[in-house]
Amino acid sequence: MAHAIDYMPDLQGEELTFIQAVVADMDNETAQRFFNSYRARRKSPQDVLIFAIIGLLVIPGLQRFLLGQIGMGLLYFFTIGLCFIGSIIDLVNYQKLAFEYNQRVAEEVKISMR
Amino acid sequence: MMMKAWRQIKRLPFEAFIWIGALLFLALSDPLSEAHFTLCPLRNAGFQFCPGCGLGKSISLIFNGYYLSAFSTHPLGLFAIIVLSYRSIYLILSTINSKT
Repeated sequence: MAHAIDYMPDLQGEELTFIQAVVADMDNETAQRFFNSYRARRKSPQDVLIFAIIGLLVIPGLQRFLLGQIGMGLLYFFTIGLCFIGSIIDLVNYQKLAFEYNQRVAEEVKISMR
Repeated sequence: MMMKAWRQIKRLPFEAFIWIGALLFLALSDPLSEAHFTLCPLRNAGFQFCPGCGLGKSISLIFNGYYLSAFSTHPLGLFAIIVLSYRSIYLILSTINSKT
């Protein structure tokens, strides 16, 4: 049984719980492969926070573009982050946004490993 | 059965509530009589041209059927409704599907 924290000690909170469930049944080699891909493609919550701060102050919507949400990103860009309100929401909500993105990454890595 | 539904609703991401709440508020308010209260800090600081302003009014106008006024108030009103609705639905569906 693989322990996520052995492979990626910086995992915490919801993400840790989620990833632990994903790798629970993996053997060492599979888990290693999983974490190689996952770690490369995941976005850390701190990164999302930084994008959100830049999104608030400089380029509205940057954080949404970097999370693959092009429609939302364009909406933010042309409306100055929904008159700053959207940018502020994203700043408060950054952990959820990161987790949502990382969940998708984990699913994709899992699928690509079948 | 009501408890189960309520539990699902509590798990929804708060971002979904915000978009849905905002769209509902704009749909239900009357864009013609509504006093123009501005949320935009740029407008309140005195800048005449803010590309975000008028969006709320535009969305409200669309929900009430004034499509041409909506477009002239802010051209992205419909785009905003579509994007925010899609995002809200996506958030709701992924919550329901993933945490079963």
